[in-house]
Amino acid sequence: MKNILRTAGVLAVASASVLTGVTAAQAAPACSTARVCLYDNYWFTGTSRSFGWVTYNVGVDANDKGSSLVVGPAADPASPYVYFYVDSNFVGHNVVFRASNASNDLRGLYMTSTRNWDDEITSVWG
Amino acid sequence: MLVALAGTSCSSEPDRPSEPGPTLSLPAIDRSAGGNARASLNETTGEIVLPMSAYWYSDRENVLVNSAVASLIFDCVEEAGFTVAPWDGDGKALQDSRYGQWSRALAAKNGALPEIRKIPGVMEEQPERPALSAKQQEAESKCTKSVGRAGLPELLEGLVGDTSIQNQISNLAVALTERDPEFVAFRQGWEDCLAGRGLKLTEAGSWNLQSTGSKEDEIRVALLDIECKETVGGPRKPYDILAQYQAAQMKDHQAELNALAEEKTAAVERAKHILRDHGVADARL
Repeated sequence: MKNILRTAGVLAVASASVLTGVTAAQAAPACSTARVCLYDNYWFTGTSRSFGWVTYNVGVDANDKGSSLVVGPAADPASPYVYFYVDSNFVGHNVVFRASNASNDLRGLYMTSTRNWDDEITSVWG
Repeated sequence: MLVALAGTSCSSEPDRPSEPGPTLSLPAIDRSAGGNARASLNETTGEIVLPMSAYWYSDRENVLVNSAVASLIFDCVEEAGFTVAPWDGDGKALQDSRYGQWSRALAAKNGALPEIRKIPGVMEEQPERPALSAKQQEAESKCTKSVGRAGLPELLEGLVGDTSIQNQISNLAVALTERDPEFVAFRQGWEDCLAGRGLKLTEAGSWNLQSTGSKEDEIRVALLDIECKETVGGPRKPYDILAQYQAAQMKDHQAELNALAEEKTAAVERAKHILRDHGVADARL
């Protein structure tokens, strides 16, 4: 999604979401227990794919495609957090989501000053 | 602390380095102000301790706090008329691999895969959790929402939406490290060394390397990865730079961080109190 929008010139970034994210759990669709749901487009649209909380690589079709996401409820209330990684096998920068949380637009979530989480997720650990 | 720039880009190249995208301006932080700081890397367990680590829950504290919250959720589920089976398990924590593999010992054992540490739970290991009925699952979801975090702070690095001073310091240190000349030279030297040995990144900008996929080859490649990092200052160098950027910022926020340390201590004590009230023996806390 990132490159298409760039060529269209849609680049606004919420200044309030500096190196953090914009969450919208209440507006998000459901995602099953112990799953994460990645969407190719913003606002939970486009192709959606569901993965377990431990996923070494989301696969060729989903790699670097997620533009919004929903985290399903935890299977274990004592383990309520999920880490998303930029590279396979839980390598590289990561960001942490609480169970039953969501981001409607990963452009608002920065991993460094020049790079956000749109089209970047490759592995999941929770 | 950080200011968003009105960045524009017309790039349609998919490779990460050619994607400038909108950028955030970063404040000037003099890394030398934290010059004595070093990361502590445990080659055997894969644990990393940075200056800011003191202000996050440790792996064990995280287990205690999460278990305390879970026990309150289970109380709520029982009050709703369901039976909660005795159940508990150990926690797990992952080796930090933000800059790829850094431990020779773990590279020889796991290749590039991060080491998984077992964190003892608060109860004896119980059997697998039984499947919940749809109604009980629904009750658990409702209770999870109503209990929330039970007033216990979430001191977890990198949590989305956390605008606390400790997360700002950590995030900014990561961002500043990425553009630090010494880090950039480290990264370039590492890539040059890899190329000289016939190794390729899985994709531009990644810390992962291509291998044939066999365990033997993954270990071979991971050890060469470590060797290349050693030619440019050692695998700990990016973590030391990160530690120095953290330490440099901490000086200006020490009073807030001291208050945070007290808040963390109080939260862990409260979690232990909750667990004792739920029958957990002191020896497990």
